[in-house]
Amino acid sequence: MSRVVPVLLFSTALSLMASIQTKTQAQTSSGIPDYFFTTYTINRDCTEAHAGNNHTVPGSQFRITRFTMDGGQSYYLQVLDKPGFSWPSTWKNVRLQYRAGTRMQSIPADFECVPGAEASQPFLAQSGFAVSGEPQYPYERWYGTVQIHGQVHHLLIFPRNATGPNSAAVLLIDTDAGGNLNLDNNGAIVVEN
Amino acid sequence: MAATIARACLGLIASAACTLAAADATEDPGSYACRELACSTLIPTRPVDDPSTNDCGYRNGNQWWLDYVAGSLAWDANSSRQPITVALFDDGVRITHPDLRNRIWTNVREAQGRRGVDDDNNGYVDDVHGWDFVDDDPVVSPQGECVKRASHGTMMASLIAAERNNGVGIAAAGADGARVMVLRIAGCGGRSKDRPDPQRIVRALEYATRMGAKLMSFSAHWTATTPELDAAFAQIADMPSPSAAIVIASVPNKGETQAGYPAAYPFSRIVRAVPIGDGDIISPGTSAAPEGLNLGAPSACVLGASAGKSGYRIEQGSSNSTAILTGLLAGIWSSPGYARFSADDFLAKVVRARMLETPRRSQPDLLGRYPGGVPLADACTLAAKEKTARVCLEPGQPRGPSR
Repeated sequence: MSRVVPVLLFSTALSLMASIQTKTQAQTSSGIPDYFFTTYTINRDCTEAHAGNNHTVPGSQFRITRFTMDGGQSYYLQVLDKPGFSWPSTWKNVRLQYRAGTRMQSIPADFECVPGAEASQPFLAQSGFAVSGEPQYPYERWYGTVQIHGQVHHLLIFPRNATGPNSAAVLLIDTDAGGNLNLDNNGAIVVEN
Repeated sequence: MAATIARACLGLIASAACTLAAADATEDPGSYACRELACSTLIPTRPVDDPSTNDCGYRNGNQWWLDYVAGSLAWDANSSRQPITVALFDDGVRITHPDLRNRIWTNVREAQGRRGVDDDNNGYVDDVHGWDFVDDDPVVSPQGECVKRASHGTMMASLIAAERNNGVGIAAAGADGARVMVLRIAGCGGRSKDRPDPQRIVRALEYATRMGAKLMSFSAHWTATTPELDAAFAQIADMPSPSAAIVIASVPNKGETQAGYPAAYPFSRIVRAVPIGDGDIISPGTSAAPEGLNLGAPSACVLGASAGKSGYRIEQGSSNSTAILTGLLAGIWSSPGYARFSADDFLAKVVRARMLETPRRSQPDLLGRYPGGVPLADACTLAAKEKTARVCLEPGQPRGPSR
């Protein structure tokens, strides 16, 4: 059974960085909104302590970058190391795909994060919270897979389009369903803004 | 008109933290004017001033979902109430929690029997409050690696049956009508034995049936099944039987396409809890479920009991919807006039005829899996008895009936 939990991280873009990004990012020809390329700063970490370190930590940053290759565009998660924190190597240059959907105007309550040590649900680390196929959500998003502690996870990033600082919910779900029983909480939670 | 979930999770959290710390204080409801709200127009999210309860979490408006399902209507001090035995299939329950210690099912023959002896001859020794099918012993509280952790099962038990008017914590719709039989089917350690398996669930189902559980609550799901497991559920939830029970199954909201079991079973006595999020919209990522007894219940920003240090926590997820719905059904089923119903009668006369026909419906989900939405669970079936839920309003708002 997986020792790695589904992790719901909330990150919020620094407003200054978001504004810089807005000025420097061109509108994509693929129809992907500009704000999908904002630089985000993790401000809360939903990872359960015993699930392993370095999923990420508050203050760490990431952004989605694009590369034009052979006339097409590819998108990658670009994590930004900083003094005192280096992202795990498995997080680096994760290839992402855009999934169309409803524009997320606000973080749904079911994605909401609650501060407090107990909100981090250590039991879920053993509960086999896993989804074998690509999870389906109604919101437009980035989708990829990432390997953490030897386990492949679905990685879903839900940028939110709203006035004020941009923010995003980041969801990690173990891919190894394997007939496990899942306790049906949504995963660990943190708060942005 | 459907009541709309509107809440500020952060505010709720902050409030919960302080009010729960002051759990022993007597709350003064004097700053609020109270009025009776008719059930069909019940609008939640207002702090409730119900003099019959002093649970601080409820009195301070931190249990918005209880109003949302008109859960207090399921309270009744009537001594003729016959509490329903609710089997909770989960990872164990801290049975000494102040909101639960008086709401746990007790096997009287074992409680009054001899230690180390199978007094009721059911094959389980000293099974006073249920059974731990993980470690195969009668200790149903978190143990070993699970100690000091939050405990999913403790949270679920509290949403089903948390004691009201005990001066602490929260209250549940099933506070007066539910007694929780704890069946530990999942461990919280990393051992292989902590992993739930079908055979264990079959044993737990057989135990629950034998010991008289009328509601079986699964805030859990799985994707693979076995013929033995299918047969066990069919026996309980589909075939005519004097021991028939109702299974309440969560419809998960983790992005899976299909709900998984037991929600996926097409059986007649499966009631599915569909998680409801903001604005009465079905929670993002909610799986598809078979048509049938599908009722919406709140999923997000729900305060419940924890086995951990603080005693309470706030959680999201369809687990909550399932437990809230289970407590509500227990509260209704145990009420005078309903308690005599068999499982099939209760489903036909209460769930199908009343709850599914409610004018309160959710919005459709954004993935189109529930194009007409789902009925929102509430206790309005009890309103025929002229009961109303008492909701506090802020000073200056009009008194009197709302319609």
